[in-house]
Amino acid sequence: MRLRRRAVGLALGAVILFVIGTNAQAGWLFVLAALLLGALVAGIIVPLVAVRGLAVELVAPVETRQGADTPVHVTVVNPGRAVRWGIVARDEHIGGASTYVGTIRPGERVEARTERGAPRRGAAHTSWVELRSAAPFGVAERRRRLPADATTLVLPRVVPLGPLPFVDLATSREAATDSDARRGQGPEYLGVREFRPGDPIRQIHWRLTARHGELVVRDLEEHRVARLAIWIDTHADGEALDDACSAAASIVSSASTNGVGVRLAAATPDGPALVSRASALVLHRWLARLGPAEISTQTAIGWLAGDPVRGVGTLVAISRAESWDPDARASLDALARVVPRVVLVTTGGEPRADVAGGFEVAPWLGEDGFGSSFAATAARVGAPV
Amino acid sequence: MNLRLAGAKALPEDGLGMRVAVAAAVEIGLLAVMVQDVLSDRTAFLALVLAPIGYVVSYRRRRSNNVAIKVALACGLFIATARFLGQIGYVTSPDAARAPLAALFLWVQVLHAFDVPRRRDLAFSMVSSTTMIAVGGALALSTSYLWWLLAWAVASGAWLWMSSRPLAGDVTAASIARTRTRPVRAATSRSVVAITVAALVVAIAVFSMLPRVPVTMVRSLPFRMAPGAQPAPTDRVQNPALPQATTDGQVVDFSSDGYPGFSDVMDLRARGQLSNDIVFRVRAPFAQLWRAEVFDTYDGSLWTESRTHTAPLVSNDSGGYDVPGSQSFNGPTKPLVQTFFIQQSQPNVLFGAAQPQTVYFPSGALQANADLSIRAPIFLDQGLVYSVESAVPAMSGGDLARLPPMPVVPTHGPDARYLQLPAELPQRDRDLAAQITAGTRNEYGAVMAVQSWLQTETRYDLTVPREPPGVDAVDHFLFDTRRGFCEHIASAMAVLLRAEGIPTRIVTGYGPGERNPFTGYYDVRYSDAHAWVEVLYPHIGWIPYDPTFEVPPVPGGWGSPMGAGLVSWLTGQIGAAVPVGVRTSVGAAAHRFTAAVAAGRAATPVAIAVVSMALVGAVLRRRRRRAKPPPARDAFDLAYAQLLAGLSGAGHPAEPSCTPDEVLASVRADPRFDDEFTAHAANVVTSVRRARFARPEDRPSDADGVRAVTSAARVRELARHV
Repeated sequence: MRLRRRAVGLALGAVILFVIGTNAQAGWLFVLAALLLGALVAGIIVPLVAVRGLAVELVAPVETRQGADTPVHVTVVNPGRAVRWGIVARDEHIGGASTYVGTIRPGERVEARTERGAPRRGAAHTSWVELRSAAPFGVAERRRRLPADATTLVLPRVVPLGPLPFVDLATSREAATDSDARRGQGPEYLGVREFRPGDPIRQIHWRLTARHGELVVRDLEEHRVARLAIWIDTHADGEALDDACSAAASIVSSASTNGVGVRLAAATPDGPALVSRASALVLHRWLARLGPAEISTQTAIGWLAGDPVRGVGTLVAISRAESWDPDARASLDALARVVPRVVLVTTGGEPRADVAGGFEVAPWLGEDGFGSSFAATAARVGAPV
Repeated sequence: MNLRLAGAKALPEDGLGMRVAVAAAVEIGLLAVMVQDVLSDRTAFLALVLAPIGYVVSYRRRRSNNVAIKVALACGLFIATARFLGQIGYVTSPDAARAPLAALFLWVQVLHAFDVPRRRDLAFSMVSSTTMIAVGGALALSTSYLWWLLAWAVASGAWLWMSSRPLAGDVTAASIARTRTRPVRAATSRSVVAITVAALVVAIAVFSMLPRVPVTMVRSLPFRMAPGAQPAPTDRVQNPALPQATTDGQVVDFSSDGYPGFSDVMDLRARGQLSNDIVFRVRAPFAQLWRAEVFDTYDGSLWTESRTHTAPLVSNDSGGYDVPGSQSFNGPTKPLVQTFFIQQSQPNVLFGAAQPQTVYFPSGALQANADLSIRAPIFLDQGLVYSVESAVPAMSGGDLARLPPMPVVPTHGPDARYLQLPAELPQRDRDLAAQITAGTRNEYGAVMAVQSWLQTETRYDLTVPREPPGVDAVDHFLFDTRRGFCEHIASAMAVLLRAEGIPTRIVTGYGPGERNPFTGYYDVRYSDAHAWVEVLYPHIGWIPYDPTFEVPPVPGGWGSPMGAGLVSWLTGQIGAAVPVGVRTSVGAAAHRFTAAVAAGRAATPVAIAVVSMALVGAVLRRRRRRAKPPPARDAFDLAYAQLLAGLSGAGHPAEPSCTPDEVLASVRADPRFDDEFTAHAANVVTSVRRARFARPEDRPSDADGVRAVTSAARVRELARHV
């Protein structure tokens, strides 16, 4: 039960009227004071029962993407015999919302659908919906939390990037580190289709051809191999890490669209983590769950030496501009000696000039992606754009 | 006036209903002030018309900056203030300033109405409407003001209700879908009534418990002249409601609106019946006898004044008139400020509590005699208002009882006139006085003994016949009839005490009247005209005694709660509203019933028992007929009830003895129900079973309850197409 300012106003008004009424012996002022106090007391008592006996349900999608409009349904049922007035339902699921449900009559089921922007990446879990009411007089507010479970995995925001300027295809499959989106190894079977002129003979599916009486070929995945690894600096707070994951997810999506396999690496509280040979969606889910770690940027880069960058053609390091210091630069410089191409993507602006090293730098502009800056940078270093 | 800080943008209030409620509350407040006749007709009319226009303009331009309107309102406010200052320069008393002050407040309210874009501005409007309804209440004299207050309460309640909703910017926009599975008749109206009743019950309870503190701190006491006041003689009291007193011994009886005691004589032979019309209303923190005239000489039938000399009252710095000789009381007193609002024409004598100190009267040339009876140069006509400050004697009976025996009052001193008795007074009266006061140790003891004797040995009777000619009225009352009214009882007390050498005088005036619990005013009626006694205690002063009804006590502390007189007042009002014939019939029937029961007739208890049993049986039968299934306890009950209703609607009623599982089995066995129907029914039954019989940790959640209700709703929907 929370009293509102109006309660103070009514009580103060009643006291003032009582004092004036006593001094002036004006009886109607006592009646008026009593009316104010009556509204005050009734306004405190009625909300006590206003949110009792209601049932709620919270329904949200299993997955959504950061920034995307996500429908969330809050349902309130009044199984009792009394009208419930002025009900407001609040929950904190994926950004949270307060919804004015209003009056719920006996036996009524009210479903409120809200669109939420899912402001934060990660696994969102809510276990309650709070119902509150200040009816009838707005004097006091009664709040009650009812259990209601909902879990949604908010994937990182993806910015369309188009072809990536810094990805070099591997010269051979053996030289590649990872394949792109499909599970398994090597060329994968996608399905069958009718034969088109130019299709290799060895792709003809003879058994189906015999059954259908016309040429049917296996439709195989186009297998392009690449040497792209993305490292995310987890020594960051929530929003900065969201930005880094958004940059990583955007690169992953772009790479996947272009058939480029990606390897992801990051420092976690349990040590270095590495994921590879997975579809873009799996990588996005991995990024959604990636949490901050109290491990310095320099140490985390140090963990990349060895397996994580073995055979990699391009290493994209995503870090916060503020935390990029000479020590981190020295570590990345060391990696740049073993990886053909190193790109530092900074979130939150450009790094200081004195920490630039033997690698390219591209500031991440959030929803604008790399903007034009990377194109200029990429052009300067002679990379294909 | 809406003053918005730069950069502080708040959303305008779009709720039309809320604005209508606020405008209604303001209009009611304006009207409540206007009907108190403190404003000119032109001001009242303009305010009434302009305020709603202002609210309409404000609503239509709620999203605009309204710079031009703000400038115009500032100019309007400046003009209203200048007008107020111009008018206030001519007022002669603080009370007279209320009209320009009310006009200024009204104009501020009207101007404010043109710029109320936000909810907070509307709240300011409600505060000002509360102020106006309070101003109207402070000026209102009658109970009819209750209707204004109730109308305002309805509008204010509507505003409170609507403004309890969150602001549009505080909640997320949502699409709302409502499904009603179990309509309950008149649920909304019942809830509204319940909340209204709850608020009113609490208000009445609070009102009943509020203390009516017997103090007042008002120092600018009101007084104003009645329109068309008539001049009156200053050398004597003249009662315009009565024929002029004659000198030939003819008795002047009571008229319905004229008490003969308010004249030069009080004739104990006069008879008659006074009406119940309200004479005046008194605003005072506690009740007293409102004294007017004092008589010191008794001739066996008439009481008259032996000293007709009066002295003028002298004006003081506070605008009032000091009463000479008012400081003569040497005991403890309690200040009492009274304001009289005259409703019916009265003689040229001022009414007030004992020991008047200062009088605030709209006319000069007030005169007072040695007994502190104050005469006015005008008749007290309807509309006249005046105030009196008194120092009411507050000496307790215990203090008086501890006084030493009084000294003998010299028969030729200034107080000898208060011992005067007619020479023809029979000796038996003196003997009776000695007999009553025998054994008392001081003056107070004698007074109490006489008062007590009169209260126990005589009876109040307004219909007592007139005394035979030539008979002493007091002697006739004491020894022949022992019936009479206040004049006889008070005269008897005065005579008996004088016979014992205790100075007394007869006072006429009005009883305290009945306090209206709502207005707080004492409503004094013609029928409250009264006579009582004042007794002189040497070295202390005059103390009033009323052997007929008792003198109202001087309260202390926090006083009594407001509700103390509420029930009796309401009973009186209801009784007065019932026609006399009905009252008589009901009273007679009740009397007969009581008499029959008292007579112990054998048939009466049996008849009562039979009638009672028949009534109880009828009530029980009616209740059983109206009995409904027990209400749903939770969402699962509701869902199951809906499932059964759906099955019944589909021509597949479930036996009342069936368990939920048996019901489900019967649904599965019925080929008319498809898979979806069966699945939803199964969901309901499973949820109900788990809710009722599962271990606590396995019981379904509220969300499951919602799903069950949803399934039940779907079953009902599908059942329509089976």
